[in-house]
Amino acid sequence: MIFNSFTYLVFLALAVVLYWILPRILRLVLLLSASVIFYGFWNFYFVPLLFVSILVDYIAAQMIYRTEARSKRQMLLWLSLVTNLSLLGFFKYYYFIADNVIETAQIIGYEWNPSLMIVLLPIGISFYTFQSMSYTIDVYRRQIEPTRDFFLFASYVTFFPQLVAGPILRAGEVIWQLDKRPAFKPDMISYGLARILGGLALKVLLADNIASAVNQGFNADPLQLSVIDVSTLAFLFGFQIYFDFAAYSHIAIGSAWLMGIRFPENFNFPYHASSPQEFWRRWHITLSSWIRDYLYLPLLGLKGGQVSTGGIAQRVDVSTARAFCALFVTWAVMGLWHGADWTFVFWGIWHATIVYGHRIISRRSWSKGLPRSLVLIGTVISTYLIILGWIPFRADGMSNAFAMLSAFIDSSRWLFLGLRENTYLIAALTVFLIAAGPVVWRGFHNFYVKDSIFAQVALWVIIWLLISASLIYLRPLDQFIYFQF
Amino acid sequence: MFTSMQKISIFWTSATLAALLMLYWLFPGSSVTNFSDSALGQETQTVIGTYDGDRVHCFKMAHADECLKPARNRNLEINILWLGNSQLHAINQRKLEDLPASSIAAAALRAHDTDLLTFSQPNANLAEHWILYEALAAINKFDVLVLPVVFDDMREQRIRREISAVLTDSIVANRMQEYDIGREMLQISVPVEKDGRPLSLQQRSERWITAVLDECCGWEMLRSQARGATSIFIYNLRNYVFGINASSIRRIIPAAYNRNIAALDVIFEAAKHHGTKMIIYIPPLRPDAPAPYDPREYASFLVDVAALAERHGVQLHDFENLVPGPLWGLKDSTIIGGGAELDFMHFQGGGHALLADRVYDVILETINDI
Repeated sequence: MIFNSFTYLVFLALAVVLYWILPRILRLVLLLSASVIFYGFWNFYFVPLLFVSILVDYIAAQMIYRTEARSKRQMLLWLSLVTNLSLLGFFKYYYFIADNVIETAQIIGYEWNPSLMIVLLPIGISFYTFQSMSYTIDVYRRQIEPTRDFFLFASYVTFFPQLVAGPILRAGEVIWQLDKRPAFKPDMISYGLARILGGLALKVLLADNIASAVNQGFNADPLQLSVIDVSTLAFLFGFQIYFDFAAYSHIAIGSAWLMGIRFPENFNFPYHASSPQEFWRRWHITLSSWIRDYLYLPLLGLKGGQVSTGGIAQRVDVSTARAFCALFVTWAVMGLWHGADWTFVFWGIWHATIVYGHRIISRRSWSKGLPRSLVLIGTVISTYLIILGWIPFRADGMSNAFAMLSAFIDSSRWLFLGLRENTYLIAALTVFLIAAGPVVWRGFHNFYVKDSIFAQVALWVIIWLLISASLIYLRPLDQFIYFQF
Repeated sequence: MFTSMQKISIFWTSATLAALLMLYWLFPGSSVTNFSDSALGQETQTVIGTYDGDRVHCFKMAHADECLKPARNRNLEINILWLGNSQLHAINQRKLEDLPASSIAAAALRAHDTDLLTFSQPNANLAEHWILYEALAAINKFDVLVLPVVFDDMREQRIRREISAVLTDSIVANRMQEYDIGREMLQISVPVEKDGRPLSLQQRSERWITAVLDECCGWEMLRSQARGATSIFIYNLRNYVFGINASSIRRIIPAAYNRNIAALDVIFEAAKHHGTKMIIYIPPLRPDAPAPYDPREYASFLVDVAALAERHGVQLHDFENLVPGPLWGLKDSTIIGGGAELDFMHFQGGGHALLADRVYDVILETINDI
């Protein structure tokens, strides 16, 4: 089911009302069946796949918890990981692997054109697989106790607000909330509705409207674009994906709030970060925290945490080869998680390089006493590089990505304007909006928490305008970008 | 006085009701605006070309049967297709007796056992013309294709939804696959579902909810009116802030321009493939005011089109000075609070008659060779 649809609004209203009425057992049955229906609105055939993952991790976690022998525990953990990663690998990377094998065969002179199966990518598989895996790993690490209640575990993995595009939840943060319903407070409804409305407005007013300019730009011949055009498109796509995914997260968080359940935040004004590390503490926080705890820190030989906050940034000794490899392997995996294409790996390596470069510079003694103006210039440069990273992420294939980025080394493509005038205008307005974002948010929040008549009236006007805009523009035409991951 | 739950209910319900009331007040169901026409302005009117009670002028492929079926029934010896932009269907300062060029030329050609059908869409680019031509040629044999090459439209590169829908046809898609630009377009066009494909539950429920809301409260019409009005307001606001009007210079957009030139090249090839003779022309340009183009870019455009036509052995007809100044008109301001502006694209009924005459002459020359 798509969040930006009238269907979802009706579905959510019914689910929330029943949630607050039903007793525990029926409530879990409701959550599970609502989640299955939510997923089935896209495709019911993939529901069993979801339950394979759930069943394997439920059984594996129970057995790991009851087993003392380290080797047996490890074997059970591997069984769970291999099952989950095989499903993910097959459904998400089948074409990627097959294409690369065929191309490699052709390069070495072996003509091979096998007929490939038709494999559909189950929506949200990257999200629920990671979530389910984290549970088994946490039980293995003895960081949490497994639940014996299958319905509870299944409800945790499938809980519909986060099922297809996160936030990626840790069992320790959420299962207890699903187990014991909190006391009903009217503020939960009000705050949840405000978050949903904010998310809808971000999606239908900003993300979807920027999308047409972005699509037009990326569909143009990449060799006809200048440095200005490529930068403009990078900024625009960076804003589009931010608005789009932040919108999804707002609606997910708001939907959960309506049932009294708190999700961790997934975004915190990432483009206001002062360094690449900080960016990753503010962008898709639950994924980068997951990657930190279950991949990056273990690669460094360190113990991972169990909270989905804080992001990926972790200060380690960059001088060691192990740290260097861990950083680049982590980011390559991060890239591949987003999509089965070399463009995503390129994007991951791009970020690893920026992070590594920033670490090197920030640890030099001369960088400590730099004047503020130079630090500011450094921040602007690193933000620009982060944003430029969106070019390979969005480009249609590596050759297009390189063709676009080649503008930087071709002096004849530095200065002309190759896009429609409106594209630059939208980019400029969006930069302004992004810059003003925290101020707007603080203002909204101040109105929200204040009890004065003026604040209440101002909040009412804001809500009224946002409802009007959402009613006009709400159309399930454009899916959320992160659905494809 | 109120419990906090009651307060919250009042707060959210009143905001929602106020939003609905505002929408119904601003966009009452009775005042339905055609936004395609409102983009033309009040001075200019869309006129559907007909002759002898049948349509000879269509807009979308979806409605092509309204033109093609009567043509098949007439079964005339020679069939001609005229593609173009809004210049072919919009008449400035229209008087009751004014007819669009498509009607006038179609009437004149009937005496020569020749059928002329016109398809036009606002700001249609050459890639869109190509797709439409392939789709029409797949179901109807055309002996001659008449095509204006409009400088303004060389800035356009978006393939509108109605045209994308045609790409789901396997015959058209296979033709597209034969050319680089066609493969590119297949890749980037918005996927449109084929009619008859089972809908997902999401689509079915959304349609059902929309239908219920539509029936009770004209919901979709209200929303589309609101979206259209908002877009026009934003467009006019932009023009006001940046001082843009109809006379402002429209610069070439390199990627769009090159794609359109490539599409024109492919149209020549496609015409050869389908055994269709080509007539291309530079459309009339308003002579009583400086054109809103960069003179060097416009001159280079003429050179490019002429070179391409020559390479394919097709004569380029120059109708640039065909319509005299008095036969052009004004259009509504596109700026908030602005006055009327010169219309550089749409001329009056007299201009349509002149264009029809010239096109008729050129067609006669061409069909004499058939």
